[in-house]
Amino acid sequence: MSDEPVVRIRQVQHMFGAGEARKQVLYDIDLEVRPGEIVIMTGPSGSGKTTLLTLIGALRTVQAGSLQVLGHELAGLFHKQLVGIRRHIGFIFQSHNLFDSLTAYQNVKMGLEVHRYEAHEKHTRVTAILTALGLAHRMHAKPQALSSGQRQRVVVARALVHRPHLVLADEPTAALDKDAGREVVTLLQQLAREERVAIVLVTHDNRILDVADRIVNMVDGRIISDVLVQESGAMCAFLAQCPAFSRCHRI
Amino acid sequence: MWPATHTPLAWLNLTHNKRRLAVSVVGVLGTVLMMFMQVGFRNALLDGQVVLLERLQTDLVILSKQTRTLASPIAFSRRYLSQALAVAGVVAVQPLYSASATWKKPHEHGAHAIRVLAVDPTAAVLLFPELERDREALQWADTALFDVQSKSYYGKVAPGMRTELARRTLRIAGLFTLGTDFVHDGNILMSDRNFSKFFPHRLSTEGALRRVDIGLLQLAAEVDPLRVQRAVVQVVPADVVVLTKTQVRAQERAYWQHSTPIGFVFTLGTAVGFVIGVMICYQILFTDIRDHLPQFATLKAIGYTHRQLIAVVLQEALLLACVGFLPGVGLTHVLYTVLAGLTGLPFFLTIWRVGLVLLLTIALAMVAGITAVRKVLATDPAEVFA
Repeated sequence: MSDEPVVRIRQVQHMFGAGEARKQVLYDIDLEVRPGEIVIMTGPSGSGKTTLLTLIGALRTVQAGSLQVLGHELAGLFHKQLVGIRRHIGFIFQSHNLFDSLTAYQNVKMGLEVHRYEAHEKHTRVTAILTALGLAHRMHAKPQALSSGQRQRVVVARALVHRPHLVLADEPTAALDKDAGREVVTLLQQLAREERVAIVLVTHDNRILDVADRIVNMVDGRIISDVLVQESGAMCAFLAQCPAFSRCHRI
Repeated sequence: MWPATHTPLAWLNLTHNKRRLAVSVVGVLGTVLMMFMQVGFRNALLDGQVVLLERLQTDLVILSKQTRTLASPIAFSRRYLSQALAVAGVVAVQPLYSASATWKKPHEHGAHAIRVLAVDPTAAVLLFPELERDREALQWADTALFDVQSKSYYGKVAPGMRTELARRTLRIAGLFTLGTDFVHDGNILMSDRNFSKFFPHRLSTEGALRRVDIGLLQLAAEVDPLRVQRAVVQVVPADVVVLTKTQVRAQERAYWQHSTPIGFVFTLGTAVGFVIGVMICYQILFTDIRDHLPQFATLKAIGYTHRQLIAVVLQEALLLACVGFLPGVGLTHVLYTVLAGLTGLPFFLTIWRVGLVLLLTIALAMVAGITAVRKVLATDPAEVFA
């Protein structure tokens, strides 16, 4: 698999509203995400991170700048073409948005219905992903009969069942307790490592920052820091050995 | 585009909430019944007007030009019938007399208008089939047959009973079956000789029935009725028309449909039922869509096209139409039977009428679906992340 960036953003600006009420929410965004990378976007609410996530997900029209996803330039695409791009992305939402009328199995299968697979192929994939997520015994339960952790795993299954190369997640652990949340991020981490899936994650949950390869911090529509976690970790370890910082470390 | 998905999302959404499903079925069922009642009454009216015509064994009918409906025919000279009989191909002519008279309820006070039909009971042709059985009795003085389909307020009538008609004593010789229409609530049938006794004002100065209300012509089996019709038109004066049974039927239906407000009222009633149905279906679909907006937005986010989403909603609308329609037909069958018994009108649940209401029901569900689906198309998938 090539190491070409899955997401490449150059000088993206974004505005909401029109006329007098027009308000810029994103300024000069530059960002690249490579296969197998987990990028966590943090920042106060209103900083524009969710807007950026929806732009990457082809859910909004690019107004200015260049935004390439999975090798396609999104700027200037028509609605229909954007819908086509969405099919190759896995979305994990904060609210589960599962159909109450459908079983876990059917909800996950909805993620496959827009793809041209044979019926048995669909069945195999849905069963495999639900089994991998530990839901084999709850496959035919409806969302109301599932715990919140199980429901979130169904959402993850729906996002991954078509094996996307890019997964976008918005607060995937917000509705979950510590263990269930950890379970979900471990799963994403595993996916990134084994399948080289790029994952962009918006979160306020500090408990899961450790899975990130990079942490992008946004404030007021700008990226103010883009830190490689491994490097900064190494740097911290190095600095901690310096006498000047050793006391800080203890504090 | 059809079906949109292999997972029957539309069906599962519709049936998931059983209480809501029950309410939806009742809503659509009500609409279906309302339309069936309007269509039923409209056709009962129109069918009721031609019941008499259908019972007459005749090929051509002579009517006064002023006659607009068989329910109140204008009389014309009996001589025209003899002229028609002279035309090649006409094997028999028969006058039919029709008048309204006061019927006094047997053993009770109170009187009601009733239609009196009269024919020559000795004529071999052009009669009601029932006449064969009571042919003999009808020839006696002051006797008549009573229509068992007459409204109940004429009293319980049995053969042998005596009552009063047009202030003369009448004996019921037997029963026959005709049915009511929107003008007449009951019928009796008698011989032309008795008719002249009960309606002396219809007699000419020589004491004969000179004017007939409906002229019936029977043709030879091998002749072309349209050719004979043209020939008869040539010999009779211009103040009468000569029509085939089909033409009379069409004229009769057209009269009640267009020349009276009754046809219009029931067409309007059907249209009102349709509009109410659209509103009910819209409300059901809209509620369901509103409750699932985040789910529909999610489908958009994972790559469902507008076309696929429209298909899901329209499928749901179609299923809604069907789950309301099927019990609707069953209930209509029962109601038509009850109404026919109560009114004496012919309520027929024909395949065409079932098809018409089915089409209307599907159409109204589609209109509602197309209106409601706009809500789905307007949702912004980006908002799912908000």
